[in-house]
Amino acid sequence: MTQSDYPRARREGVIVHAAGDDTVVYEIATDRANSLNGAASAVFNLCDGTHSLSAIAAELGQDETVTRLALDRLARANLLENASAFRSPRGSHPSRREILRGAGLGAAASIPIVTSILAPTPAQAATLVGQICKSQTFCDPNGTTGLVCGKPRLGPEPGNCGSDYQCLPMSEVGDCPVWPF
Amino acid sequence: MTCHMPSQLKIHIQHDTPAPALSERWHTPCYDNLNKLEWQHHFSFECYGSRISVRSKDFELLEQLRNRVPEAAKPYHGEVADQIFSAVPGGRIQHSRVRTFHMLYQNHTRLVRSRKQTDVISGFETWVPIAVAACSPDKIFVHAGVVALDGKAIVIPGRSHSGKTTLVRELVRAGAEYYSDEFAVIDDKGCVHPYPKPLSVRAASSMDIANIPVTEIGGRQAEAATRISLVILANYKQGAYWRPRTLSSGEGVLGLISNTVAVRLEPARSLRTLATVSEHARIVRSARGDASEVAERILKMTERLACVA
Repeated sequence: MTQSDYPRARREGVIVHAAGDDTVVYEIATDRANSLNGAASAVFNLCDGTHSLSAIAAELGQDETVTRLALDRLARANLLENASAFRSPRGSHPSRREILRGAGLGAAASIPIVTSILAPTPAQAATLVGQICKSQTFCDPNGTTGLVCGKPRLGPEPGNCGSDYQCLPMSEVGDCPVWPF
Repeated sequence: MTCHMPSQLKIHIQHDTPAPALSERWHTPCYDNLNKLEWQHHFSFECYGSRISVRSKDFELLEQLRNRVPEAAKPYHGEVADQIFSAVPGGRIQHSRVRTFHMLYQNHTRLVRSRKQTDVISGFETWVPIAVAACSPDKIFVHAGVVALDGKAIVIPGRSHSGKTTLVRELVRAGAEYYSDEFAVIDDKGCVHPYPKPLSVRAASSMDIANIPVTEIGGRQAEAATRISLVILANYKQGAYWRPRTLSSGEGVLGLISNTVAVRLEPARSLRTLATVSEHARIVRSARGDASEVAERILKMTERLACVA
């Protein structure tokens, strides 16, 4: 076996905090917050570079397929140091539905889930979103808020825009006009 | 927007004392350039531990800004400030046809550059609460509406336009005590503190905001901190049926993180505090329809939590 057979959880540049059975991992460089459910947390905690995939599966008393799925999810969330060794091609894992069909509905809690979000900047989190604006600098004075001064997109069809310019994430402006200068 | 004076203590504008210096953490070379301008008057305040200083050479403009500081602000007389707002008055130059811009800076960053002074004032009103929330050394600010029933706080995080204030207003009308419609101010024990301010109600047909004192709708402003019992992640969706799903602690923390002001600046402290909240509180997610119907269900849910506790 090589070192790449022993998954190692990232400990540098991340803040790890237990939340009940779950674990929240915050990546400082990218400001990405990840929530690991109980099953993913159990695997994450055993990724210490001394347990192989099969050792983790044996210790947790779970099928190796589930452990492999957990390592894939952790690798995709960039939470393993040797992530590339555990990232499987998409579609190579049984889906959650297939695992449930095989193990029964009681196994739902054993399916590893990693949910990720990008942490907001102060202005995104606070009331700036939705504020009426009359310049781009008002919404993003130092290039950190990621907001634009634009008209909100009200529906999927093109040209359905709000009447006022507001500080909004670009995703909520779409093809509607942004402040002209 | 209506103007509200800080009710507790009056913050005085200083003329003869040196203004506080910007703290090392936020200091930049560009700020030194701004410092070279003439600043005759200043006032400083502290709000939830954030130390903010505001300066200008225009006394009247500064007076207007002072009247718009958060209600919980107290005078601050220290030598260092976490954030410094600088207001540069514009307008027509005497004996000239030249008109200069009114400008507002936060530290070295220009927030407003406008022909109208009212834009400086509204910019100040917008950015000061964000600065307070971002710099508080011992509290975590989550963008949320907060009420309490029998000492059990209900926190409703959400972005602007998610219907927070509408739901808070209905909960207050139904008998809950009002904490805030803007921020949940959470300490390291997971207790929420009042953030006193009038309810900011948007008119249905326009973007105009009316500030309504909570007493006007028969409510009461809370004065003491209380434990968070229920967190509701609910967006308004017309005709949606209220079907709350309890989230796991991790999912709940993620839901709170996405509305936490200083999470990028203080990730470790934010995570610790939010994990404490998730340990003690039930966190639910649902789309919601009409606020008045949902308010009743939320209060019933809170009563049941109180019984279990």
